[in-house]
Amino acid sequence: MKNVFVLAEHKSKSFENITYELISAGRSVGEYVSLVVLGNASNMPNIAEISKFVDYIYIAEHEFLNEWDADAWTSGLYDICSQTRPDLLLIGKTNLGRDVGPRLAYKLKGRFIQDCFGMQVDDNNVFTAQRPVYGGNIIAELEFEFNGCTNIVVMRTGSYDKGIAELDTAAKVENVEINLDDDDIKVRHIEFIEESSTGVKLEDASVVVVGGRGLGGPQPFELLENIAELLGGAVGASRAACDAGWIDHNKQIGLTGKTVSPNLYITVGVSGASQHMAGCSNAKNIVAINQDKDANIFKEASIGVVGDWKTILPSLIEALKNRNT
Amino acid sequence: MSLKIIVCVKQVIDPDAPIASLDIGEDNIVSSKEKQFVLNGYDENAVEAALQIKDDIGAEITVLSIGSDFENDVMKKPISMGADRLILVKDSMLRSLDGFITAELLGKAIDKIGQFDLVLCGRQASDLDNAYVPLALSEILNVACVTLAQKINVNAKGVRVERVMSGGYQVVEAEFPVLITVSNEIGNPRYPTIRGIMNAGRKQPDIWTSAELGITDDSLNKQSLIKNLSIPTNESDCEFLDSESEGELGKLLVEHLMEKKLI
Repeated sequence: MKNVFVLAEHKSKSFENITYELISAGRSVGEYVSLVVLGNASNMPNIAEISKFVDYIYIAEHEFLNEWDADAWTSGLYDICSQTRPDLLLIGKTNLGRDVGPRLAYKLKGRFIQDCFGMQVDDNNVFTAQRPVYGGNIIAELEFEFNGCTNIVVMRTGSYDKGIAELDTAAKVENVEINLDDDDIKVRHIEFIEESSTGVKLEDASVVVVGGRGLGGPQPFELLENIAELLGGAVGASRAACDAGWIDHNKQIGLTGKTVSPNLYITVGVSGASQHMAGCSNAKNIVAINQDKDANIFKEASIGVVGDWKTILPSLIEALKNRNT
Repeated sequence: MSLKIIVCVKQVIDPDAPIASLDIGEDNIVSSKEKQFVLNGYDENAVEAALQIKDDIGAEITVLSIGSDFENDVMKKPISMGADRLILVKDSMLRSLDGFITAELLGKAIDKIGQFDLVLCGRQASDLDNAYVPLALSEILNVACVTLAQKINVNAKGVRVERVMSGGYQVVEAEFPVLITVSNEIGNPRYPTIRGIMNAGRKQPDIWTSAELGITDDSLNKQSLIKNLSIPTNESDCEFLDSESEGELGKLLVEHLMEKKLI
């Protein structure tokens, strides 16, 4: 394949990690990589930092292209792809990308691959990609040949290395005109409410203590808070525990919750369903405390304790306290 | 004020079914040996969201699904929860549906239903987790698209929605008609009531065919991209800590973690 397009995501005038990951993926399958940068006068990033890593940069500026507006981004990208007709456009699975990707794929009548973590192109220009299905219990391999339409792949964050070698020459930069009018914007952004959390942020924590269905109620989470505090970590939960109302949904880790990558991930009463493990697959060391010795979590964990948390946690807290004194 | 709401739902293999019960066919269609079908969890959340609106201001709720084979009990659950009407687009050709065709068929079915204010869908289906169909459908219907709702407030002209996002939530507004995808944060689906169950027993679904919607066999044969499905093998290398007394296990774990310099 000759030319792979990559959609840039940026914040505070800098490119996000996912942009570099997508370039890395793009360079593994394409001869050239073109970066598409959308933004407005107030948020447009400085392209100097990235121009050594791609062959072409297309810049489209419009006042509607703020970081929230999936309507504007979808229309703008549709304009650009209709003009340039790339075979492949890579988009990150982010707040914006998960909205823009499917809508754009439909409008362009291209193939769509969601949550992709690997891709290849063979000598006959046949494209293959891998993605999890059935909550991660099954891996799907998808395949298609290029047919003149622009195909869209939405990539799972962290799938490709963001460290990329510089090219010999800086990218050729081109400004592209896009047309957006008021009719294109159907959803109005009102405000963004940042979640209030005390202590260490779950996504940044080096130790995460996680509770699941096996805890049976909200009270045991106080014990987990205790442990997290003693280890300088944060508390998370499985979807089952959140849906049961035992703990706030902003603690949910999994396929549709948060993705964490701590050094130490301690689970208590978590069965280890694939959809949960999708949120912690980058954890370096997983400890499992569970009464059921056949629970799937023991296949994922490197250290296992089979037993009742009601007995184990108090002695664990006691030992942690003694360690600190 | 009474809203016309359409909820799109899908029957899926129970995501809690053990992996060992899943069978991958030669046609790359997954089946469960135990035939455990359920309504997609997020779609139940969407039904719940519709019922919350019905409780507040009144609504007529039509539930719509597309497939080749339906379990009656599974599909009638939204009726037993309080929805008003069930439409099933049923065709043996629809066994292995590509998202593009599914969205097109839903679009045609909604055209046939007629006027609507709100379309609600689950954020994604727990089988393929593709999160494609609702967004494509919003393009087909040419309506506002709001994804990942955790709270929906209806006003005279449209909706104000809280959207689940990483790092917090976003508040947006859109005017009717609008399509919203619902996330589990909206709240657990309610239990069917006795009256609802009796209602569901009496009420028969409307069955439509794809031909009635003007979709021909040719377009249904669109080739799936799936070339292969495999269940990844996971060899356990878990080191189990053991003690005569369960009361010692917590202490043992702390010692072990210190030894490995993990804490």
